[in-house]
Parts: sequence; C-alpha cells; structure tokens
Amino acid sequence: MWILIVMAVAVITSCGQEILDSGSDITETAPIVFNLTANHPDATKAVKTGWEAGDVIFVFFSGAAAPKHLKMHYDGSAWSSAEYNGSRQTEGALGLANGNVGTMRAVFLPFGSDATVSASGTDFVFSKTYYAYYLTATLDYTVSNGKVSGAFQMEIPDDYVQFFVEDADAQDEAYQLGCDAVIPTGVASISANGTITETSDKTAADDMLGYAYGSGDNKGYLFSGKLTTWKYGSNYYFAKTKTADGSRADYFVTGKTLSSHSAVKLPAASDVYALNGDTPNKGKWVPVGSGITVKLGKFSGEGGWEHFSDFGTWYTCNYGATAPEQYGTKSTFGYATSNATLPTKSQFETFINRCSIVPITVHGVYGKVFNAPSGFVFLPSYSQEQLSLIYWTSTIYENDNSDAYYLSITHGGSISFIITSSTAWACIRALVNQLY
Amino acid sequence: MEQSQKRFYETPGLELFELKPERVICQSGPMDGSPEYRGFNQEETW
Repeated sequence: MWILIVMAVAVITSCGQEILDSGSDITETAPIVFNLTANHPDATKAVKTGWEAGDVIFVFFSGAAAPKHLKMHYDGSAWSSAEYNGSRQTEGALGLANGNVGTMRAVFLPFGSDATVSASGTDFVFSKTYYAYYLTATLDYTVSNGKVSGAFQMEIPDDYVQFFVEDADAQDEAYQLGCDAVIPTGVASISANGTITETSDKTAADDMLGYAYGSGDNKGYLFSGKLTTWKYGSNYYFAKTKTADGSRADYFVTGKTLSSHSAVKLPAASDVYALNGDTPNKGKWVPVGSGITVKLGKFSGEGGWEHFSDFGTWYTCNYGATAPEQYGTKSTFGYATSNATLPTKSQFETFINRCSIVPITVHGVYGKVFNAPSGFVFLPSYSQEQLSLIYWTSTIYENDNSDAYYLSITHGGSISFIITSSTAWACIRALVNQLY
Repeated sequence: MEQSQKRFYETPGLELFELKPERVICQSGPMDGSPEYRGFNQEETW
C-alpha cells in the first residue's frame, strides 16, 4: 500500500512532464479558455439598444494570423466564445500560447452576425460589406494560465448617424435612403494589428441601404452612414427608393440638426402624400417620378374649420425626367408649349412668392427646394454652383414675340426671369393647374 | 489512474493547470471614472 501511494504521488507531481496514459489515447492539448464579455455602449436610446440573442462579435488577435479569429455569441443573457471554425477550442488553432501578449480587436456588425471572415493578404475581410454602422473596441490580452479574459467596451465610431423608418414589411436592402449629408460607410477590412479600414467607395450622393430591424409596431428600416460636411444648415432632403422597381418618395424637413451619433426617426413609410378628393392628406413622403404631381398649398384654421389654399399642382420632375434632380428633356419654346402645361411668368412669380426657397443638393445635384407651407418640389439648377439652369415659362416677351421669358435658377445665387430667344433650349417644369 | 482523476492534462510548453467549470471574468477595461462609451443619442423624431 505504502509503495502504491508513493508511486501515485510521483506520477502526480511529475505529470507536467509525462504523458498520462490510461491505455487508451486520452492525451490532448488543453484549450485556451476565453472569458470574454462585451458591454453595449451606454446612453443608447435609439433603435437596437442592447445585445440580442444571436448577436455575434468577431474578435481578432494580433498574435493570430488571418483568417483565424474568435466569435463571441450572445444567447440572450451571456456571451460565450467559440473558435472560428466552430469546433472546440484547441490550443494552437489560433496560434496562441501561454504567456503570449497582444491586442484584441472586437467588431460587431449589427446586421452581419452571419458574416464569415477570410484573409486578404494579412488583412481580415468579411464575406460581405455592410454599409452600416458598427461597434468596436480593443483590449490588450495576455494568455495567462491558459486563459484570456476581458470585457470589451464597445463603441460606435464618431460621425455615424442612423435613420429609422417604420415599415411592417421591412426586408434587408429592399429600400434605400439618400441624404447628401451622409456617406454610406462600413468596415472594409481589418489589418493584422487590428486597425479598421472603412469603405471609401461611396459618396454623399449615394444611397444608404436599409436593413430590417425590430418587430410588430416597431419594425422598420434602419439606414446609417457617416456625416460629411453639410453646407445647407438645418435643411435636409431625403429620397427613399424601393430597390426592386425604383419607385421613390421624398421628404424635406427644415429646422433640424444632424451631428455625430444622431439617431433620427423619419416619418413612417405609410405616411405618404395623397389627395383626398381635392385636398392633400398632409402625408410626409411625397411620391416623385415621371408624370407624378403634387398639390402644394397652405392649411389654415383648425379642425372642421380647416381650409386649404391651393398653390397649384406641380409635376415633381422636369419634362422628360424620371427623378426630381434630373434635368430631363430640353426644348425650344415652341416644342415646350405644345407638349407640356407651362406655368406663365405670373404663375411662377406667385408660386415663388408663396414658398421658401432653399438651396440644397439631391443625389449630388445642385438645385433649390420650393417649400410651400404644405408640400414641396425640387428644381435642379446647374452642375456648377454659380451657373444656372433655365426653365421655360409660357409667356412671350411683350416687345418681341420671337422672345420669351424663362426662369433662371442658380444654386449658389438667385432666381430670376430672363428674356431670351424662343429658339433657346431650356428645361420644363410643368404645372397642372394653378387656381390663383 | 482512474478516469475520475483524469482532470489534468499535459500541454507541451504550458504550465500545468486545471480546467474549471465555472467562468472567470476579469474586467480588464477601464475602471470607474471612465468616459461614457458612445452609442447613438436619444432618438429624435423628424
């Protein structure tokens, strides 16, 4: 008995150097245990607050070459870690060993938990580029006694903003949102030392893709991107396009400010302008496109005494255009008057006097919004700020009937009426009718 | 050695250690007094 005990002790104390063998092969290298958690940023009161079951955080180690990485999974109450190939963690798979030190980079893609990671040279790249915000953090790590521990304090990078549009039928990428104050931006790659490189292939004129989020009454599209220099003060123009068929509705708003980390709830997708008989319904999203019109005006009074003053029903696009920012087909005066209902000079003047006129860009095109108390239209100007785009009126110059009046719109300047030869080529923004 | 005693494994180049069933979390992030971690702001309706 005494001999057996001595032998047993000898085995235990020396087994750091010897292979334990029961006769069957139980030798295995022990996995490194990753005790990692992640904290969602504080003070997030916008859509998608807090972690949700199914969320994945990708963790990249400075000591592990691409594409090796760790995935943290959230089950609804806690995080667990799994090796990128999904199998049990085994020492060596990430290339880490006890005593290793380095830096971890954690990345959360709010709509990309099912992304996969591959190597692009020594960089890490995701299987798909999501042009949307992301959360990230870094931590130093030490493999100590077979463990790596830490708590990531996840943050949204500066200058990201988000927009949410309620839509019970939301599906990923089914809608796009254009706002020239925002550049669609996402993670392009992560370097071996954990530096994130963001995408740079989009401009402010490009649309953000919408990702479905939420459920029930709170389901909708989340659009996000990074702020760029905005020259148009508190005025913002949104173009919402359905990916499948290009149908579009626009929303113009004043008196607002976008800043880093802004979260904005735009009108619901169902809040759409339409006519109830002769009167607009006050819907915020105005459908735009070839042949589509909008009645502008002003509501006054309240409740049953509310009265609508009609400023005229205008086409949302130029003649020959399919979007408000397109120039469309330019025509001579004669062709124009035979093919469209041109506003008279007087009708244009009345319309201009009733609206606030706001310079802005839409999909990168300079122009001006004619913003009535109820409703708006966008007329493009020229491709350079100080040059003008001209629009026919139907009014012949009283002193020479070979000339006619046109409206000149200069983005960086004024609106004015100019007399020119009726053989000149100009755009047309047609008017259906204007009562007074 | 009996199966129940096989809690120890050799890991070449590593110190001997024991796998523990419970999770050990070490907060290695910034301590109290750290700045607010930036999420999105309070949602505003436009």
